[in-house]
Amino acid sequence: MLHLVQLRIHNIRSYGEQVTIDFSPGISLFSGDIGSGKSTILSAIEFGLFGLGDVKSTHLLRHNQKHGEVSLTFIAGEEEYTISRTLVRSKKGVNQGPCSLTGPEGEEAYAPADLKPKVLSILGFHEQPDPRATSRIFRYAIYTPQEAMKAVLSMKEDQRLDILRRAFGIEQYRWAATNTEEAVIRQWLNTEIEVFARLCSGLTEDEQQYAETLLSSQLARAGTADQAELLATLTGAVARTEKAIEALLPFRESASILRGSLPGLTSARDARRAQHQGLLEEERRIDGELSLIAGDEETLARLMPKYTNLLEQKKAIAALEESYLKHRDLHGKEAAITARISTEEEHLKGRADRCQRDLKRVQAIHDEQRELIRRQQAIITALGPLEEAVARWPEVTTRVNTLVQGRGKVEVELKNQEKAHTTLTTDWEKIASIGEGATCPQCRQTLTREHLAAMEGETQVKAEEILGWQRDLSGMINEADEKISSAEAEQATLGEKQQVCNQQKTELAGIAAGISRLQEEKERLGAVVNEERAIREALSTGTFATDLEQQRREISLAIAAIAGEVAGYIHAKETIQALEEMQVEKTCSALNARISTKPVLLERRTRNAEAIRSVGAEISALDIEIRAGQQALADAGAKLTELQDLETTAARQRDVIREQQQVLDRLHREVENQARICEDLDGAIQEKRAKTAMMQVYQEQRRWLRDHFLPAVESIERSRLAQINETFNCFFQQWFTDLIAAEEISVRVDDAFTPLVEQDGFEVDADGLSGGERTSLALAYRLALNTIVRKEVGADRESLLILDEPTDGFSAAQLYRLRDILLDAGCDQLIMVSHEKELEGFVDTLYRVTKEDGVSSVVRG
Amino acid sequence: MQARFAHLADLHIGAWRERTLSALNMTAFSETITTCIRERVDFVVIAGDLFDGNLPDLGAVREAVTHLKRLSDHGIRTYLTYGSHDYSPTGTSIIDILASAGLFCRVTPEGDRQRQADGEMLRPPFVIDQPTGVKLTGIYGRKNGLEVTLYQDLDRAWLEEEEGTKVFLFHSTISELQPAGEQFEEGVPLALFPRGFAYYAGGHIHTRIAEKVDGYGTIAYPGPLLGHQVRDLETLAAGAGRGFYLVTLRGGEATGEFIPVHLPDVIVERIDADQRSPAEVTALLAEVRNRLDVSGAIVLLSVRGTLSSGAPHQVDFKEVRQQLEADGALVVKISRSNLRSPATAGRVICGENRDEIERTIFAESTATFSPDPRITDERARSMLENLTGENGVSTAVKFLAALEEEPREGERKDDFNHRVRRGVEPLLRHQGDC
Repeated sequence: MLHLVQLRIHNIRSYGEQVTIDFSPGISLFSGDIGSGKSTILSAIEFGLFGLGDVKSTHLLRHNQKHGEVSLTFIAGEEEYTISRTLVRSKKGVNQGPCSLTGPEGEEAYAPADLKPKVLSILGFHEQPDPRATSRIFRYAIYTPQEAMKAVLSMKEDQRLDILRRAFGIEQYRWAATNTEEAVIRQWLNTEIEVFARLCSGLTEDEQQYAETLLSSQLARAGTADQAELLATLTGAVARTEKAIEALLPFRESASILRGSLPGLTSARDARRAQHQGLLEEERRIDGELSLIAGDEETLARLMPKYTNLLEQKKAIAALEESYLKHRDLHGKEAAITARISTEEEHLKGRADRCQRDLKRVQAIHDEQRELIRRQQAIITALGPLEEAVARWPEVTTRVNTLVQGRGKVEVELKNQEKAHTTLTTDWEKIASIGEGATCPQCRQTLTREHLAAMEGETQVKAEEILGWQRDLSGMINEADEKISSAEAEQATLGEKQQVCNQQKTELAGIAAGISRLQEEKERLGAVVNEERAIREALSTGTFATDLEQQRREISLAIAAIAGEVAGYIHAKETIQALEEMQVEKTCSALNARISTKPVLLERRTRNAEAIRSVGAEISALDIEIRAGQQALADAGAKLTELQDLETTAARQRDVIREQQQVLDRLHREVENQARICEDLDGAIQEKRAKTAMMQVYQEQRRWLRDHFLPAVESIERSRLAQINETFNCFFQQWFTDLIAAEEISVRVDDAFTPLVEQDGFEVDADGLSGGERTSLALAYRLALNTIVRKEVGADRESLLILDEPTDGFSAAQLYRLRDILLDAGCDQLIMVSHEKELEGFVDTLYRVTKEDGVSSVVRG
Repeated sequence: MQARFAHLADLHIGAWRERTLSALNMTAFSETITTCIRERVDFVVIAGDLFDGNLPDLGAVREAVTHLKRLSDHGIRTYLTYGSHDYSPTGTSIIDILASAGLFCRVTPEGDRQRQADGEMLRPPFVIDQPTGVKLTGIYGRKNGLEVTLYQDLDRAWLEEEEGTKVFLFHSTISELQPAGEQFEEGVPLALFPRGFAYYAGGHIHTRIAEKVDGYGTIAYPGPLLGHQVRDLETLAAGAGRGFYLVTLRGGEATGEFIPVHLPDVIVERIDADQRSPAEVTALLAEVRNRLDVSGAIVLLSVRGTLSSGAPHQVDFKEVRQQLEADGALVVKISRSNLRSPATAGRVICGENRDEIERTIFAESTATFSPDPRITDERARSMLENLTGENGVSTAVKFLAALEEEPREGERKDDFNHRVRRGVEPLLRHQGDC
């Protein structure tokens, strides 16, 4: 708040030379006659603080002076300030000159327009600098010029309230509210919220997706674990299977070995068996042989005499063998000649047979010839009339042709006649249709009835002629047709005969050829008869082999010569043969040979028996081995089946494992993918949550501001205003009552701080107030206002109140009461300007303002 | 003996601050005077409160004197006594001045000279209207019924013993005659009044009363003309006749006739503004205006109730007044002392000073703030903690201080907004840094 210290003025209105006024605390009164220059001091104070405002510069600068100055020293807060302002007259008029402000930080020059906001700020007046006014708060709370003293009552409510709100510091709440709404909420928080809302949009979807992905990821993990477990189980199973396989694998080798060895063994055994069999057979054979040998020895013993005889016979035969060979040679020759004779005979008999067949054929040919000739004769006989008839064929043919041609001509004529008849009829019809009187198209003459009748008659005659001729022609055609038909029948008969004739001729030629052929054959067979006869003769006489018979006889003689010897030979031979037949020698030889083999055989038998035993043993051993091998193979086979099964199982299991591994890999990939998605989503969600959190913070701060802070500020404003209003009313009513002491009217300010004078609760128009009442009202209002402002600004000690002629219209009693009121108001510094001498009695400091020769002066006294 | 006189009281000249009402009252007074003159009354008695104050507006006095002078000009005497309003203990009331000028005769002594010496009974002297011989005496009125002591000291026997036709002027409420429903200050019991007077001319009660009471004769209060307060207008509106009594005294008996005066109609409208906005109330007043024929009438608008929003000063009373006056209303009186804003209706003032009020209200407001429970983010919650409870109060106070900014001269709007934001940012951000 403000406290004046010193005012120095120079060339301001009625003041000329520099006048210095030192202000004191307490109540000061500038007393002087009207027009002495009292109010100029107040104007100078206001000018010093705020500049010109609504005061005209020409009104302030002393007449005829070019330069004026006001320097005001005051205390605001704890600091002392001095403002210097100047007025300069130029050709254009009077303007403010250089200004300065001396404060705690030294002196600083200001432009007039800049100094005012600075001063307002120093004084703590929260008001917008108005170039057309000094300071509304100053005017309201501190100083009101006399002429504006009562204006407070008639001021517009809004304007008054606006000023008061500023003076009370209430307007700041509105600014706070406006700034909260505009700068904080609208410009800042809303923007931030909008931005964050955009940044964190889709969080719910992301979270949902995250949850879904997480769930499916967990499911996939679970699936993976299950799958891994399954795989482990499968792997374990396959390992077990493989182990089992491994355990069984030796069986495969052994089985293979067994399989490889068994055939060998079997074949060995078979070989051994065969060998055994062979040995047995050998044994049997040896036994047989030995048995035979035993028989042989027996036989030999029996045969020995015979054998001896044989040997003797053989000796005999050797001596007779020559004769015997000769005898056999002769017999041979004899037999050959006999055979040659027999063959010749046989040949001749065959020849004779063939001749007999040829003779029969010749007889047959003769018969055939005869038959053919008879047939030939028959045909030749039949052929004569036929050839005669056939000779008529060309004639008949010519006749038929001629008839046909003639008929064709007649037919043409008939058609011509039909056409001529038609033409005639048509021509007549045309003429008849033209009718009488017309021009005849043929003779170009006019047709008359007579002419037409003549023409009709003529036409009919002609037509009759033509028709007659047509009938003749038709008869001719019919006749020709009949003839043609007859000729054609004859022609057909002749054709048939011709055909028969030709056939018989062909047959006749064939017969002739046959006869000829038979003749040829007959001739060829002509010699056969003689030959047949000669053969028969030779055969019957036997002359065909005389030489041979001779030779045969000679030989027979030779044979008979050596017959004895041959008989001896034969006997010997027969004996030998008998013995040989008995195979004595051979047998003996054989027997001896065989018997000679007995020791060998016995040895062989012994060896063989040994071999049989050995081989039998081997077979037995092999049997055992084979059985064992088979058993082992059977066992191994079971194992191999098992192995195979196991391998199949293992393969299947591996397939399954592979499949499941693929599934697992897929699941792993899925899990990884989902984990990545989850991670991404989580990142996004975290970020969005952070953004959401920030957005929520902004929203909550906005909510706090809107729902709590702003209503609270509004409440505070109301409360403060109400509180100020209440306090104001207290002072106002009290001081007004004190001043006018009128019971019937009361005053109060309404909530807009409009002073209301009421009588029985009804408002009384200000016009109805007396001058003193109005002054009292204004003064009470001003005092209350000043008190409140001081109270609100919290500067009770440094308080200034300037009253310009505050007692206009006051009665003496009121003037007396004023003192108490002013003391009650508790202003630290009260400056009054008044012409009321009565006031001088109670002021602390009195300044007498006088004016002499147009120049005002102030004397403190 | 026969006499006719007019009994007037409570004229309260100079009471109304509204010129029109004042003029209307004066007109009624003038009419009364004219009637008295016309009726050739012998004299006029005014039972107190001729003026509304002991030193009323001199303009009104001048006018009143003009009319009173007309009476004296017609030879009609005027007798009066102080009323509670125009009494002056120092004897410097306008009554005294005018009495001194001979304009009328004050029946009771001037100032407090009516008082007797200690221990003596009061014996107010009789004034005798010479032409008629009617004897007049009385006791003046004072504020707050202070005159009752005079009655208590009154030597009634002495007064009663006086011979002749007597008229008693007084300006007090007789307890027994106090109108029902009207609670005046403690009245004066009838028993304290002297008996045997032909007529008791009373004032002070603004209700017309005329009763013959055994042993007392006629006791009458004519009531005011326009009165001096709104209640008088309201009773006028309720149908109370206004005027004076023309009293005839014959053979010690008084017969009174009430002579009415012409006064304009009074229209009383009570507007219930409860739970209405200022605009609605303004509209309601416009409706009233449309409904009423206010031409030549006195209009009393009483608006009461608690507004739903805003403040009483936002009701455009001025406009309504001007419109009613334009419609021909002689006077429009508006009462809005019982019209309250919702802000003042409840408990609004919650502290002695700024700091106390701010802290109290912020405490109330932040007490009801709790961050959305759905916010689970720790940092966010910790940031919001500073908006709750005590922290909230402190934050709000700082916030308020930071926001009380006005744009500087020449400052661009954006720059200003930015400056404001910078001021409060740390208060919100600060919490974020916690």
